[in-house]
Amino acid sequence: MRNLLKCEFTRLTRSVFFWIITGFCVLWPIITALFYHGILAFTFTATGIGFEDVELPKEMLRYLTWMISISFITELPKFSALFACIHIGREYTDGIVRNKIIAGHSRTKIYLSYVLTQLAANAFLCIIYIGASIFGLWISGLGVEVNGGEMFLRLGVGIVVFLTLALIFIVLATIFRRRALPLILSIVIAMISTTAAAVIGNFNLPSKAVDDYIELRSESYEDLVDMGYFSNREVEKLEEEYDKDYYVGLGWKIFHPAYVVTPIGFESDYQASSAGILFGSSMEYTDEINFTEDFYESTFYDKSMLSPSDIDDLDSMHVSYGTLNLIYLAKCFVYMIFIGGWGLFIFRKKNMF
Amino acid sequence: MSETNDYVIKVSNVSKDYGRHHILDSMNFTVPKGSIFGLVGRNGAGKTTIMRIISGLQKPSTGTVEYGFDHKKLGNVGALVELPSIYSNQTARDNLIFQYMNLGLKIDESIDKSLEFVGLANTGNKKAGKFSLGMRQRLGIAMAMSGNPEVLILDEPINGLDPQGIILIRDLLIRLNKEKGVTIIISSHILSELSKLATDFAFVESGKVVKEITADELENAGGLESEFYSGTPEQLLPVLNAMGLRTRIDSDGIIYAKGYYNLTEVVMAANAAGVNIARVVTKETDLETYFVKLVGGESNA
Repeated sequence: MRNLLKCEFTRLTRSVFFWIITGFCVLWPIITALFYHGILAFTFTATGIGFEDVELPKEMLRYLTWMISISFITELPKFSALFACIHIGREYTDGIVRNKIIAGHSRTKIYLSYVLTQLAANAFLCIIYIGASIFGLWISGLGVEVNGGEMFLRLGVGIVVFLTLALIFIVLATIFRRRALPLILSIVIAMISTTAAAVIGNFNLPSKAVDDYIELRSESYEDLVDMGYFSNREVEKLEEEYDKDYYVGLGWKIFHPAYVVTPIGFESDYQASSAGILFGSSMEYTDEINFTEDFYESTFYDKSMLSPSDIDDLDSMHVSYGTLNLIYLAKCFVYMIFIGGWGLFIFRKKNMF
Repeated sequence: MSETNDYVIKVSNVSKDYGRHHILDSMNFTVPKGSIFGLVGRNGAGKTTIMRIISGLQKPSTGTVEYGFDHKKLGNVGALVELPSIYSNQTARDNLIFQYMNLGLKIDESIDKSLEFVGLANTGNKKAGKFSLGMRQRLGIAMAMSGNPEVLILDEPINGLDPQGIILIRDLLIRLNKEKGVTIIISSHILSELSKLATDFAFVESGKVVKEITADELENAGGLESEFYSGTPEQLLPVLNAMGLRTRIDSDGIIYAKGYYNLTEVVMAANAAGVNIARVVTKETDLETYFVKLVGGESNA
């Protein structure tokens, strides 16, 4: 196994295409940061405020740092898929897999050597991308805000989430002999995933309603009752009328399970929930954010419409930072075992001549 | 045929089915250690399939393959089945470096020696993808040889090569066998070439080995047979025997001799003994003829 890994890593470092992608991972986030800087400078100048005089609020810097850094999740999949197909595909087209089997390596070890090398390569690319994002924000003069280092933890989980998606491409590349088919499949998956991540991510951005909820949540509902927001009769009536399922809606019921189970939703879910948490500076989960949004959108917008029971329900949906990341890591683990195990099963059975 | 336990590979009752298609049907043969073992058979007879099974690329449906050495040790089996497996975007040297890494071998001057051995020392930065077929075959052999294997399995290694390429591969294989003691299992359509290389043969027909024979036995069974006509055959007989030919004489005084010889040397030896040779008629039963006799029909091996 060590021999195989050594060989694969050496081959990786000699791959021109790998270094081209690495170059992209360095340049793209820097260009993005400079682009954001340009837009902000133009906006401030156009409104008569000198950009040099403005100190960007922490919230905005945090937003920029997160959005530019985490965008490897949407930018890298196409390259990751292409690279896996080219790099592993050559092992088939040149017959090297056969060489390794004949030499006496087990199929399991050969498969693992491909998977581990590719995962390491993708992790390296993500780290380069994040580093270049921070460097880009710094040299552009915008500055960096990493939320007391917590953002690195979230980006770390983001890398694991991305690697889970990348594993799909890697497995496809290992089980198909021809390069074209896994390449097409991978790129289609990557494109759908990227688009869905962007669309759903935007949909999940927290609204004013969420901010209000967050504000409201900081007070106990007992206090709200005491403050006269609700009478006991109103509370009973609202609780009777309250129907969570009505607000969540049928579409969401169908979409959401698919959304969280598929890699597409899995990836975008992480982006959205993380963004929601970071922007709101609170500890909300996507379910919670969306439910709140739906709730507000479906009713006359008034904070007082939230009954103590609603707040209880919403609070019960609350997931902490730590728990959220653990959930994602656990999901990643399950995905990796499932996808990787399936790939290994096929690879072991596969005709190799 | 060497009837000892000194074998490298023993194939026992190996069958291979693809659905309803029976590719191998209870195949049996033994590859003696140190031999060049030629597998002879028509297209579709099962040569490549048994080579894949021996080299570990496929598993038999039934039957066993026993190895007379530790075949699980990395690099102890080298094979070039169908096409050479080499990185086309790497140089010959880099290909060997990767192969060494895969086998856990130290990257040292032995790589250059290997390249020299197969005649690829001067390929420099040329990528293997731009090599001629012969060069690719030789590089494939060098890679297969990297771990100093006990056995080298070569499926059609001279297929598609020009005459010069064939000679180079033939010489290379003979040197590997003689100098490094590598047992070679080889199949080829070009039976005349195979007969120049192999020390043992297995004739494969319809997924079975129908005959195993050594090169010596083949020569006895066929080979070059000559009829010597002389006025004094009794005097010529010891001259021919002295030259290593296997002889018999019939009632008409015609001497039948089996084996290969240099005619000039025979004539000179006869002159020296004061014997005259009136006429020599030769006929050769080569591997191809033997194969056709054995399995019937056209050769098409």
